[in-house]
Formats: sequence, C-alpha cells, structure tokens
Amino acid sequence: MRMRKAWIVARKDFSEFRANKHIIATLAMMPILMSVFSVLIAVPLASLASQEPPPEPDLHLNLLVFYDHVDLKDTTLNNAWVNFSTVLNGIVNVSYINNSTLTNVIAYGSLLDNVSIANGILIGCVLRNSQYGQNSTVMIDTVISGTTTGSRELYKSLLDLMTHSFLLYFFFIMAVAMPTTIASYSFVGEKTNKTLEPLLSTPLTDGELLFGKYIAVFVPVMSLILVAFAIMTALIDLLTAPLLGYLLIPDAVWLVGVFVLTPIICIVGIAMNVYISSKVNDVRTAQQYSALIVLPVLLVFVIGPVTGMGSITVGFMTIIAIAFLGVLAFLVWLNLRRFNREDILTSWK
Amino acid sequence: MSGLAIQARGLTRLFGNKTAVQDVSFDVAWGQVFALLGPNGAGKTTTMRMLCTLLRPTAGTAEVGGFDVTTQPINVREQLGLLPENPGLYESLSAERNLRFYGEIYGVPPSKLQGRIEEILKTLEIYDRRGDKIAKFSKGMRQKIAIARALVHEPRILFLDEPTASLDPEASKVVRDFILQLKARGGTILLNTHNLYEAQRLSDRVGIMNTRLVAFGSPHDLADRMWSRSTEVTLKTPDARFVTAIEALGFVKGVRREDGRLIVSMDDPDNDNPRLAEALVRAGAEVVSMKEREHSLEDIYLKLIRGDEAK
Repeated sequence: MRMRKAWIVARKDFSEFRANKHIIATLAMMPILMSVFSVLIAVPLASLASQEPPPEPDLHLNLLVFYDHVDLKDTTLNNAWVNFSTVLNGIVNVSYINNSTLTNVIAYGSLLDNVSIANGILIGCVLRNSQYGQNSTVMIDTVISGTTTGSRELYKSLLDLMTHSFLLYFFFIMAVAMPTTIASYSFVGEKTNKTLEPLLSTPLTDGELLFGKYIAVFVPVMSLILVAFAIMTALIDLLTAPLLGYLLIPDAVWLVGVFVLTPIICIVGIAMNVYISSKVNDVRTAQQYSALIVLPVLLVFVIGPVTGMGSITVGFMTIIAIAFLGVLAFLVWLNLRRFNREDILTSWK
Repeated sequence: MSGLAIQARGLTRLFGNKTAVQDVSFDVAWGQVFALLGPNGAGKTTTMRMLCTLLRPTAGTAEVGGFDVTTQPINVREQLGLLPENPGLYESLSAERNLRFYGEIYGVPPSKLQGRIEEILKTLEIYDRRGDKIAKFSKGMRQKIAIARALVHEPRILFLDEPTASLDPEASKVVRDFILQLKARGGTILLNTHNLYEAQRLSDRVGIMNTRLVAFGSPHDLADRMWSRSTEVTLKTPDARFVTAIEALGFVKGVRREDGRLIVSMDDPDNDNPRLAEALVRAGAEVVSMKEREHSLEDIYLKLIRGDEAK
C-alpha cells in the first residue's frame, strides 16, 4: 500500500471540510464545551478542597457520667463521657463520645472523637476523625476536622475522582463520538454526490482509499482533542495551582489516557463508522448507526468502575488499550475484506 | 505501442437473474474512436464499467491497454480516463483543486501538474474560472471540468459515457468539438451514446448493442452489409417508359419509384452511373440530379434494433 496515495485522499477530504464551516463548527463544539465544563467542575472542587478548617469551638464540657464498653439503647445522655460503647436511638447533649458507634441519634454541643454515625443529626458539635454516613445530617455550626469523611479530604478525593475518571471519560467519549459527524459521511457522501465512480476508476487500491478516509477523520478529530486537552490543562492548572499548591493535571493517567488510549478509541470509532458508511446508502442511516457505536465504548468504561473492577489507572487503561487494538485489527481486516467496489457502486438508491 | 487498445471477448454480466450484457466481443485499435450505441438499458454503461474495472464480468475476458481487466485492474486503471454519465465533481472545491486531486492520484509529477491543468483549462476555455467552486458552475461547465479531469493525467484510452447527455446544444457542440480535437491528435476513445448524430460525426467504428452486440463496424460498412448499393435519380418529368428503359440495362438489379424519384439498385454505382445517365438521356429523360443513395446511422440503428427486438 502506498501511504502517499492515502494521504492524497485525506488531503482532498481536509479541503472539503475546510470549505464547509459547519463541519468544523460541529467538530470543534464538543472539545470547546468540554474544556469549559472541566474548568467549571475542577475549580470549585479545588477551592473547597483547599479550605482550611475553622478553629474548634470551646464546648465547655462538664462531664458528670461515665460509660465504658456498654450498649446504650433509647437513652438521653447529658454531660456524659461515653467510651468504646454503642448508642442506639438516643439523644446526646453536651457530652464527649469517644471510639463509639451512634445510630439514630441526635447530638447537640458534643465532642465526637473517632465515632461512626448512622442516621444521625449533628447540631453544633465538633467531629474529629469520624465517619458520618447513611442518611446522617450535619447541621450548621458543626465543625469537622481530622481525617473525617466529608471534610476537606472528601473534596480532595472528589476532585481526584472528577479529574482522573470523570473528565477522562469525556475524552474517551469525544474520541468515539466526534468522528461520527464526518466518518459516517466518508463513503455515503461520495455516493450521494456521485463522486464515487470517477474515484473508483483511479488506480487507488481498496487499502489506500480506506486508509485515506481513516486519516481524513483521525487528523482533525485528534487535533481538536489535543487542543482541548491543552486548553483544559492550562486553564485548570492556572486556576487550581494557587489553591492546591501543585499541578492537578497532567499526570501519568492523563498522559496515557490522552496520548495512547484516546487515539486508539478514536480510530476504532472511525473504522466502525467507515465500515457502516461503505455499507449503507444514505447519510441519515449512516448517522443513525454511528450514534449506536458510542454505546459499547461507553459500556466498557461504565462496567469497570461500577463493578469495582477498575478505576481509571494506567494499568486499567493498558488492558483496555490492548483490547481495543484487537478490536481495531479485526475492524481493519473486516473493512478490507468486505469493501466491495461493485456493491458500493451498484447499490445506489 | 502495439496490439489493440481494447479487446473484449464474450463479455457477459448478470445482475441476479437479469442479463445486462451478453457475450459481447469487439476490438478497438489504438487511435480509433469507437462508439457503443443502443437504447436505454442496452448494457452500454455496464460494458464500459467492466472495461474500467468498476464491475467484474460474470463471464468473458477483456484487455485494456494490454492488461486484463480482472487480474490486472490497477494497471488497467492507470491507462484510462473516465468521464462517467454524471460528472461527479467535488462541489465545495474549486475546479483547479478537483483537477489537482486527480492529477496527484494518477501520479502526475508536481512539476508537470500545474502546467497540465492550465493547458487543459485553457483549451476548454474555462481557465478564468479555475478558482471558482464547482457548485457555482453550469451543467456545461461541470461537464468540461469532468472532461478535464478525465484527461489531466494524459490517459492512453478515454472512456466517455454519454458526454453530451443533458447538455444544451451550445455546450454539446463545445464538447463534441473537443472530442474531435482529441481524435485529430490520435486519441483512443470509447464513446457511449444514444445520440446517433454524435456517433456518426465522431466515431470511426460503432457497435450497436441491445444487451448483446447486434452489429459492429464502420457506419459505411454496416450500411453496405444491410442494403445493396443504389442510385437516386431525379427526373424533370418522371415517366413509366424511362423505368422500362433502364430496367433493360444489364447492370440494373431493380428499379422502384419513391417520392417522385427513381431508386436504381446496382452493384457498382461508381462505374455504372455514367451508363445509366446515358440510357436515360437517350430515352428522352431530362435528368435533374443523380447521386448514390446513402444510409444514415439512424437508418442502420433503427433497422438493427427493430430487427433485434422482433426476434
């Protein structure tokens, strides 16, 4: 195969894209929105994660009762010191709870140290190194500190989840969704404009024609994705580095994601679209099918985290990249094997 | 250059159960213009597509420029320039960009390509519009650009499928004149048309198709094969005694009256017409005109196609 010939086909398609401003506009829309969206998510989270906790108030505890290693049920505790105990269905007033579990409890003006709370309502408390979950409500004036879930660390982990999973997913989605606009048109467009017959009468081989069509879609789509990545990285780092004290992105996950996995996903999407385009007879049908292509790719990235089999790590992406390379090899083989000039030429509507 | 430009042997193409082309054989020599004539659906475009390697023959073989259309399709395509029935140009690109793309695909060296594009656009009188998008062009101009595209790489064989279909008379004339220029320069052309005037004017030989090849040869040869030669005589006052006088001549095979003229059948009008004139004058006839009767391609075509359909 002569790559120079494929490049000539691709350059012709670039010229057609350039001549049609709507194609460029629709292509550029997604990465631009993506960049803005990323900044809108990352900056507030970084701001929350960087906040210093307020100083703990002096609760003026006057502890009168002491409970140690007991199970308390349907109890009201006033000025109590509860140690290594469980409290079920109770009210805790101005007490000190240490290394205990509270369930269905309303706590007021108390110091909770290393406590696990379920279905709790905390009003004006100090919460240190504790966990509150399961429908608990933290009312105003409650101060959270230490490694307590829900504190600054929660925002940090949320920021990490957003930047290393959620935003990266969007790049994968862009890589598979953006080519549909133009790849689904690659052969159908030539058919409907009646340009296919003279094109097929040239000395181009099937491979040169197909790879020309791949390149024609891959280059603009990946260029826009990389530009979006550069803009997003610059904006996020510019706005979050002063808050966090370090550069949020890029890191190894992002670099592998954007420079290895995204191009592979992109070309898999293109190969699927080009295959469909060579098999159908009108643009609408091609685009309907192309819309479905996004689903299996989305599924791969949803199944992993949902089943706990893999958050987005370099290792997870390497596995997915190898799997997609296999899919790509199959699609290229399928495209070459099933590319039938006669069918394409004689099945015009 | 040796051998034949195009050689088709028993070309057959089926689409499902429908036979589009059946057992078509013909040769086209280098430098010849060959026209395939036939009604719509006669298989002309299918035959051309098989020769251009766009369709594979169901049976039979063909060579174009010495290469087999089935086993050497790339070599075949390197030799030819195709003007399809529909111009099929990239509407959003300029005329020049369309030609450049095809020139590059055919491997015309960059140093030569610009000059070639300019030359051909000037010949077709559209050089001033080279930068305009095809979308702004009229049908006639699009057809000119499509012809330019077929010629940009200087192909050895040109395939023209209905080159003047859907063009107005003025644009048709420009295209026909250009084909005549190519013919004068020794171009080898296969022309598909159902325009009989065009075929008669442009081609050296014709093939009349109706799924199969009904007849093949020069229009003159075909007429000779189908009709005996005859001389058309116009007399000032036609009279039965003049018919009797010429029927008595030994070389005359038959006489009939047609629209007030006498149609005299004979084998060799070139030799016998002077003796015919002499006999008529001796019989007292006043001869207004005498000429050998010619059969147009239309006469040939209609007789062959009607005869074929009656079978």
